[in-house]
Amino acid sequence: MRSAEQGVATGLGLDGGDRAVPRAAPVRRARRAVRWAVRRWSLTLGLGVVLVLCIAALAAGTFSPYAPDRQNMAATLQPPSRLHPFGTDEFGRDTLSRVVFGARLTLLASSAAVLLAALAGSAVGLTAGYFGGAYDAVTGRIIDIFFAFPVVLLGIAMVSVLGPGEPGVVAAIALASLPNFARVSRSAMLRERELEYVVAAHAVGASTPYIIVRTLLPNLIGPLAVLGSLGFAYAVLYEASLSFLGLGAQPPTPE
Amino acid sequence: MTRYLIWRGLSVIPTLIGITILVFLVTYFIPGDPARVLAGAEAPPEVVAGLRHQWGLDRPVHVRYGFWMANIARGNLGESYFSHQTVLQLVRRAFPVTFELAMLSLLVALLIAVPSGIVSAVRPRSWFDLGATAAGFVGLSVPGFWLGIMLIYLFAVELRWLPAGGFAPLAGGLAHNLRSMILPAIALGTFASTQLMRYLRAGMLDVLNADYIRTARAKGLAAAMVLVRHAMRNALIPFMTVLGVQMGYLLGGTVITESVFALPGMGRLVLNAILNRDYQVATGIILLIATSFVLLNLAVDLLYPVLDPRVRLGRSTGWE
Repeated sequence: MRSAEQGVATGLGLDGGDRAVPRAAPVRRARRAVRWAVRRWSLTLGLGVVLVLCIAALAAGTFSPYAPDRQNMAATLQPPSRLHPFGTDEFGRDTLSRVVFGARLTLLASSAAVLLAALAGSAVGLTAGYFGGAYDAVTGRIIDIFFAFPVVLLGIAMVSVLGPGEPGVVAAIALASLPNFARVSRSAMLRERELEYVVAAHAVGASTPYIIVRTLLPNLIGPLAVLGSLGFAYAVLYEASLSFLGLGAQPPTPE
Repeated sequence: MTRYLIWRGLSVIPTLIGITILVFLVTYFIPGDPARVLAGAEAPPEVVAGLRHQWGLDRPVHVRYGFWMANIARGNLGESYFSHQTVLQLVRRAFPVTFELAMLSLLVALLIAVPSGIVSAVRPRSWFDLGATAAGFVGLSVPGFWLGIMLIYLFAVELRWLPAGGFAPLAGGLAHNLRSMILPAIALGTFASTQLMRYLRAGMLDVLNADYIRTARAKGLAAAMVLVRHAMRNALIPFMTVLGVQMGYLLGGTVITESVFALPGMGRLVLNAILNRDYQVATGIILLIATSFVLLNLAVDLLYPVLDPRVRLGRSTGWE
């Protein structure tokens, strides 16, 4: 991205333009960057969509033409128009504004849920894999129990304790995603802990928490990151489903 | 073999106990006092205290868990605060609807996933494969309720081919019954099919590159024979695992699908129970669904050694 900007800037001759060869190089680099992005079009497309959504959600106030709760009974259920690009709902509220503000809540709730699940799940999985034995067997059973509840049911259970709203939804999604993080981090840990550098760390007298967090974790972050991105996609879907069922944010909050 | 079956069968017991503890804790932490709810806001404190004592609500947690478990063991899952029907009575009416929906959705999912997964694996990177992959991504990204609403809009509102919702019981004729179930089954089955398809494609690709497949082809076996008798059999093993998990998601997905299509199944029962704060019904059904999910996965696990005699018949730690 940066090389593309540089390429455009220098290509216009902003750096003087009297030295032909150094000027051509950034242009070539820019072309190469564009070609790189085109060849990985699915990455570029995905990243672009995510960026647009994140920017829209973060700057919801600037992007939305109206306040998300403002009703206009003179213009209910309108089709998309220049005034309301996404149309209006049954209370005459601007759909685009509600989508943008809703995206903020959904992205926030989903990332909170995935973050919670990743932290708790990998803490359980890493320690279970590292220590093994009875602790491993017991945590395995507990993880199994959470695995036995479909997300929607966990959502219903959480909402019955916490009451309808986002906290219950976040807790349900976090609990439902937790087993995956625990399983993946445990199996990665089982593979990794036998390797020589871990033995070496032991030999120089590193403490167990140090070995798990500073020596092993950096090498296990790859699969966890993949799982995190997948988990986030599911979290957004689950959030939408639970909200659809009326368990999530309560009206008139947009989500 | 027998030892594996017994060991695997016994291993669900701690999980089931854990589920009951979790569900009990949910009932325990639910805010509000059922005695006060039933006695009414104006009831004198002695009446409320009497009710609390009568229901054992004034006992310590573990004693209450014991009572609760004893009731469940007798088949008493509680009763609705509103209709005063027992949970089992409610379930008896709702279960067939959910079961039919889950089975039909599974059928839809398999009808989509198996052929397209196999063709994608036999002709990787072909137009069909790319199309199926793209369709799979779309199917994964679309929330189930949205697909349901779109199906209703297209087939019920615009084309008027099928009813928009509601349930026609089997007693009213099979054709009627199926007409009311087609759209829900498609809405729910499509989502499950995308993952099944991906796993089947990956499993088949793995197997098709194996040496024994080349040998089978070199022997001059018919292509279809190699595919069905040799490749499918090994590709089915990872597929079965995913299938077991997907069945669980189908059980959960029925909650959403039933509320989109207004089907009187378990999902809608539990959802309405929560929204009406009818907690005994809600927790009773949550317990039933979670238990059936565990038993389903047990059934899948017990099928492994049948499908693949090489399966390691050791003790499981529950992690797998």
